Amino acid sequence: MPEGRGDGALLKVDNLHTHFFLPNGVLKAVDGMSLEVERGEVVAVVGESGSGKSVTALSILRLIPRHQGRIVDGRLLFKGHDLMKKSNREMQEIRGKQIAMIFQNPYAALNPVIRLGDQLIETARKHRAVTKSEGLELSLELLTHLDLEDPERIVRLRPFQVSGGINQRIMLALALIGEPQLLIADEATTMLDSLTQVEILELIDRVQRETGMAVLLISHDLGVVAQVSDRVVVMYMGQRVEQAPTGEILTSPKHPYTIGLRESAPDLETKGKRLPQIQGSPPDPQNLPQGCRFAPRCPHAMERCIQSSPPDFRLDDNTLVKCWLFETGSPT
Amino acid sequence: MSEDSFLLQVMDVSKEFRGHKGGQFVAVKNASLQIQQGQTFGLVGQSGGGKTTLGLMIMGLVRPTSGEIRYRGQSITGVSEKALRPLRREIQMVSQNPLEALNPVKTVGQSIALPLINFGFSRLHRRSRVAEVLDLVGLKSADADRYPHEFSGGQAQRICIARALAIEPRFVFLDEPVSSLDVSIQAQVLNLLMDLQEEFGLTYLFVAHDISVVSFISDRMAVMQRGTILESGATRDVISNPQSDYTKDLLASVVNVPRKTSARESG
Repeated sequence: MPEGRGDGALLKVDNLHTHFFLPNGVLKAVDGMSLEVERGEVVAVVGESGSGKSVTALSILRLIPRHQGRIVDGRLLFKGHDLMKKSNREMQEIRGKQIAMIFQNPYAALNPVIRLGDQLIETARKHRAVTKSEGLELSLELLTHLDLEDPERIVRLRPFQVSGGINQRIMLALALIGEPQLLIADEATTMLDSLTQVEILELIDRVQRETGMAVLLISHDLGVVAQVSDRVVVMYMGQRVEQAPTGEILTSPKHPYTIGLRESAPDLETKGKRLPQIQGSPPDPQNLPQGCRFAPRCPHAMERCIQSSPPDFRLDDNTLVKCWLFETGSPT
Repeated sequence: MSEDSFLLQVMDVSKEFRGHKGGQFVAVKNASLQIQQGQTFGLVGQSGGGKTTLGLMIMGLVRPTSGEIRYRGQSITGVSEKALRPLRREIQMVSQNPLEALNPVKTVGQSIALPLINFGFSRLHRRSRVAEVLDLVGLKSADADRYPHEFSGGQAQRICIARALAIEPRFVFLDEPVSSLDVSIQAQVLNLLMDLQEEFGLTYLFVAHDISVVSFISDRMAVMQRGTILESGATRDVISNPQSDYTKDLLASVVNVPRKTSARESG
């Protein structure tokens, strides 16, 4: 990555390696991952299960359970400060207040025995100097703003008494109450049905525009994130394989893996014929191929791809592809 | 179109669940649909919309409160379990989460053999049939001795499909069979389902919340919301000329972008 772009970025993940140490060997969940999020930008990280998207997110917040794994290499810069050098106490100040995160399963992320309102008030008081009643008022205001109907009634309920869509709105409110500069949404709409999914995404989109916060949107579904993101980073087996503006990823994906992802998702026009599919399944993460990690499944694989892992080739200011087919571009 | 061409007819079926405090919930309300032999009928709608309950009534696992379901012209509602038994062999199911649907302490071979034991296949016949169906779904016969946790989600779903096909059913209820799978694996499983249908003339009821998947695989489809079938018809007609607002919303939730894909030229 040339100097310049990214240095002024809100978040810069540079050559991150997060490994897990298991009884039967090392699992390199994130292995040389880089990405940047500019102020006010919505960046999507797309990849299948096991690609390392969530571990990347947890690494940014330094939430990798210590007895299981750790960040072995790389840099995490937030507003130019090295997050790796922060103490636990300093990280606690950053989590929730500067970088907030929402998760896939709101039922698991919320406390099942505490009323939704009390969870909001607790979080409000943690991040802002407010009293209980001010915290409640703030929460109600925020929930109304998030299109939640009848918030006065909802705050008296517990997570299991409301739908997934409402819980996800509560999660979003919890994340927003500290007025973060970066919101990380990890598969935040995956559990919801398609219409609620659209509602939540539109909500994130609207809040993003109003507040100018940056969003890192993590999803396995390119179609979902395409609706709101400026840029897409595609991950495969712990690495970034392609990065491009959203429109470009959708209309002319470059990496064979991205192309496979795009084509294998049925749309309303594909009918009756077989879907183009990506052959095989992802490799064993504890036994990765030595060359390009996608080579065993790639229709364009050459001798070279099996031998050595390609660097990132820069096609233009905004587009990077980790694939030997694009060697004409300049390696970064 | 004669009555006989329908393998399955659901006629004005409702299901009401009653709570312990006398509350009631109508999961399915006056649903009617007909499925032709060898075709795929898609059912799309939100979670909690009654799709699975309707499927389970067809499976004979949930009894309708009212209405009738006919399989090959024969009523399967309100008949004895004994009368249903021969039909159970013809009607099989694949559910959403394959790793939950397989017994974790049984080998894959044992799981696939279970329906065969149930219907009296000999030990020798069972072994060869297990190998046969594993091959059908693209797995190896040696996989029979492995356990579910050794497989990925996509492979586990193939195993569930193999188990459903072991006793040569005619009709398979596919309840969100690809929604827990990654996109690249989803395409493999959808292709497999279509190949198997072609090879064995299977009839499918395909339930999903994703309208693009349902429209892709179905010959005819219905849209369900809060227990009611809002509209149904040939897939092409429903997609190109949706009647209800709900269907229009579902269609609008799908991102449709032109595909222009080439590995190299565009770079």
